[in-house]
Amino acid sequence: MLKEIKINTITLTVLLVLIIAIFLLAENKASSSFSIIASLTAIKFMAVSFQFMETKKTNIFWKILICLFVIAFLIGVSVLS
Amino acid sequence: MNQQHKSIYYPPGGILIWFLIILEIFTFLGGIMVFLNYRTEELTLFQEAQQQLNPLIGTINTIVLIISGYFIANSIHFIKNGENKKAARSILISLLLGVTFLIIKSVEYYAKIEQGIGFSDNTFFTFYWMMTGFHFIHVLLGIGLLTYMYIGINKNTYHSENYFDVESSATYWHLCDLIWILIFPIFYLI
Repeated sequence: MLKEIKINTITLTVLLVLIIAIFLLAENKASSSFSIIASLTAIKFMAVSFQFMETKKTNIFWKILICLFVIAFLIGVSVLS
Repeated sequence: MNQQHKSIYYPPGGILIWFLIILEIFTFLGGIMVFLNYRTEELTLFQEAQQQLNPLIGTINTIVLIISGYFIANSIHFIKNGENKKAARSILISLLLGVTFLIIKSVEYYAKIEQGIGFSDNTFFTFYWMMTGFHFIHVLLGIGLLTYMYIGINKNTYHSENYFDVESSATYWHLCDLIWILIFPIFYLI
């Protein structure tokens, strides 16, 4: 159990760093920031889903669905941006 | 239990909550895609409208919700391990952070209403009110569920042998996290 709490804490730290990085990137308003923000958003989504929501413990069917969703999000954002 | 989760029918929190999650995230994805499509057609309007939102407030709210998700994830490990007091405390922290999220969002909504920015002001704000408002209702419902779980754990209704409802509620709470992770950059940052 302690191991899982430790992994959760590491995940939280990474997520907080990503959130701040996304905010700073958006403030810079660089031309490439749109795709970088979308990619970092996808990483955040995967981290919350797989670690906090425990998708990593589920059947491969649910893992594939979550991954398909993230791919659809990234394709949609890159096409429409 | 972990081995049971490997069955397609028994993901953590139960299959029904997972159907709801998949349905909801794909619905929100549809909304985001339609929003981005309108954005390409009315780019200047969308960029001007976005200037009226404060990305710092959105970032703070994201941090609040993510930390809340962290505590609810820990509470599941505590209750499985028979540490009910720690589980209840983690849920309470999540609950308070959820309330903080709603307070910050309400202040933001109030400021927009004060400025006369309504649902039908322009396409950007139609989507803003609709999608963030829908998410707000999700968080409100989540707070109700967490309150019920907190009371249940304190009354020892939920414990290491009976925690399915707590796991389902936690999974629902993560859905609120996931939706916000998607809509926050779309409205506030890009």
